Amino acid sequence: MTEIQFKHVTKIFGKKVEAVKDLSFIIEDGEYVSLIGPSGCGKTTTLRLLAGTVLPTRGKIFFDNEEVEKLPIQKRNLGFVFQHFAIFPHMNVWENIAYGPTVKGKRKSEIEELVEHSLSSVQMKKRAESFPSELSAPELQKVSLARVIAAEAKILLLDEPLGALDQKIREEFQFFLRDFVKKQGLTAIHVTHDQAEALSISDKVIVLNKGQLIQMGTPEDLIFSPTNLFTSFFVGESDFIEGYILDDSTRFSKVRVGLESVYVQNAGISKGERVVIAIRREFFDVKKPNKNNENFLTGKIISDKFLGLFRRVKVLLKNQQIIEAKIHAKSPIKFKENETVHVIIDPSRTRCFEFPKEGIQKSLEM
Amino acid sequence: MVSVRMEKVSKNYGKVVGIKDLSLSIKDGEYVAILGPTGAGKTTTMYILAGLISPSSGKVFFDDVDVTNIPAEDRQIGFVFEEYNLFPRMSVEKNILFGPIVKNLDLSVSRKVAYELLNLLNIKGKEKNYPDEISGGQKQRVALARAIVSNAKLLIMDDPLRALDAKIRDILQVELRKLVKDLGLTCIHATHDTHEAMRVADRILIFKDGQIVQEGTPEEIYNNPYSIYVADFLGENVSFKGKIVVENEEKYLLTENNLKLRVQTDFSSGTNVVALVPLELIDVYNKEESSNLNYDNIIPGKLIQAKLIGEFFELILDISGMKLKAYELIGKKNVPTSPNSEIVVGMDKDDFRIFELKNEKLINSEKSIEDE
Repeated sequence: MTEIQFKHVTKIFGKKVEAVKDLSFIIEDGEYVSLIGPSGCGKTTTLRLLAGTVLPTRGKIFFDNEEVEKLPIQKRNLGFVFQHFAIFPHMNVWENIAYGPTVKGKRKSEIEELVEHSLSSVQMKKRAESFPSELSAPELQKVSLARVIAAEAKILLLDEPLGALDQKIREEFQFFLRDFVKKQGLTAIHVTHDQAEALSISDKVIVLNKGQLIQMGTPEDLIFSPTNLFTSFFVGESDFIEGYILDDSTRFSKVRVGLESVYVQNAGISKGERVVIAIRREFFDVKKPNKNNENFLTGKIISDKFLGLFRRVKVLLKNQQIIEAKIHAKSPIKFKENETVHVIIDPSRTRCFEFPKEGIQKSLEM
Repeated sequence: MVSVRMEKVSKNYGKVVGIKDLSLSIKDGEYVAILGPTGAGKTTTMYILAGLISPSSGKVFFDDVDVTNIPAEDRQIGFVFEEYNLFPRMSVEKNILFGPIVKNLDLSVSRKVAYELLNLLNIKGKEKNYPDEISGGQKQRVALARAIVSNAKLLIMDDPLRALDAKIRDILQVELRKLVKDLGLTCIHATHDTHEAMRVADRILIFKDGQIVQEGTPEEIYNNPYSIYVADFLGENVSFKGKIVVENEEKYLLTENNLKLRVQTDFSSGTNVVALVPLELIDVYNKEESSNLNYDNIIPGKLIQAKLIGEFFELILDISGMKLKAYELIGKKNVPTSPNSEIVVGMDKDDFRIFELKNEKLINSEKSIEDE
């Protein structure tokens, strides 16, 4: 159990490639944190900085208030799990797990105790004599985890640990992994390109883009309360509607969109300012025009496409912007092309941001 | 723009069967997805259509012309693979124009087409960059432009988005379909991802062991899977085992744990069946809402656990001692999320996909193709 802190960490490779830029965050003792972001965003560099295999160009990293650079590697208490297992093929499971403590020069009785304990922590006692080639992918990953325990690590660094597993097994293993980390009281940092995995396994998620920290928060924070356009764009699917604040005096701000207006979450942006309303696609509701409909924008159906898990209804709004709603697979209303509809907006489920100076497209660049 | 037909095509690799007696037809301008697990024969089918391997038996037609023995370079095909296969020492522009140069096409025309494609694919401005200077998503866009630039009429893609991040995959699925439709290409796209197949394609062919086990529009396949294999491949299901009973001319499924569920089925009374319901069709409400609901089946139960998994809540429920999972879109109002709360589950009779259970083994309700 260790608290990890990054203070203004920058890493520059060569002369100009800024892999991470002024990164600051705290990972609390025993927390499970995932790093997500587009490829090249700095996830792997961040993990390598934690591992100590690369050193910061500027800034400092602390483990429990001690500067990492001053801690010898064996005192950092790190354990690693990679996508491709990195297990010795010529040693059986028992020997693989005993390797760490043996190299550290532990006594034989102590090693035996550690290995037994580690094997039972991953429910692999029965496979102690097996060789890696006889094990399935999830079993191999359990051996990697047992090795972490045998090495008495306190911090677990995971680099795409489920990348080699099939979808269905992946989901089961996510559950196992989180449970394991919590039972062992480890602080875990997990790099993945799979958002769904990050959201379902972690206490907190860090979103990175172009080497910078965009948002750190619980999965609920990222989904329901993104603090910026990029998080709205990257986590799940959102549409962005442009407008101007007409009234900012109440709990919900009134925004002019084309010739219409809607109420959205008041983000403290003043009257007259240009804004972007971000709405997740599953928060839109599309209805036939009706005088009882409230807080809507008018549009015409472009398509209503069935997708199994849900339907995607694409609408061209009056202001010529296109939005797409995700609705229940079996929703009873079917829409025809060109039909006029109301896109209902629940103000409490919107986010409102200042219109980025560089334009929306540019601000979402990955 | 070309129509494609395969007639009784087989391909054996020694003793291993790649595809077996496979027939299919694709209309001019149609976007078809081939969906199936590894080893189902997707890649073999694509390679035979492209002319990269020849079939052991059977024939391939483009626009009713037999092309079985025509080599790949004369078939006017664009091919995109999972790996981008770009030439690392050529710029983006040179990569795209490689085909036209080798084929001696009019370069001024090709260059114009190339620029239009780069524009359509949002990679304008990267012409002079080298492959290692652009991202995975951009590389695949370049590979796509290269595949189309030399007048390809048929675009064949073998899991083209597999290596990309989820977000980029999302974006490219939309772009791909738009591009194919804008250019009026006929397109075959193999994938193991059901959601991707449904998103891009007009029609889906589901492969198993070198054969097509079902084909149809995404909606047809989803609503009426012919077999448990297909239903399972399309997504996650809850399964109820039991017996069909008839009361007052209505059919019910009496499950092993004594639930009585109203169902729609052609199976007669007394048949042992297994019924599958896709998790997203299991609608969950707070108990207080039960009087306002309109479902064929409304069953009380308890919520064990709710977890946010992106666009869905994953709910674990206890219904008559049976543990089951349900997905609710997070946009739905008042999804129950507090553990141990009393809930009700709503399911309509056509939510159940019902298959006969013979000798305690799961057997497809449809005759399997091997019997034909």
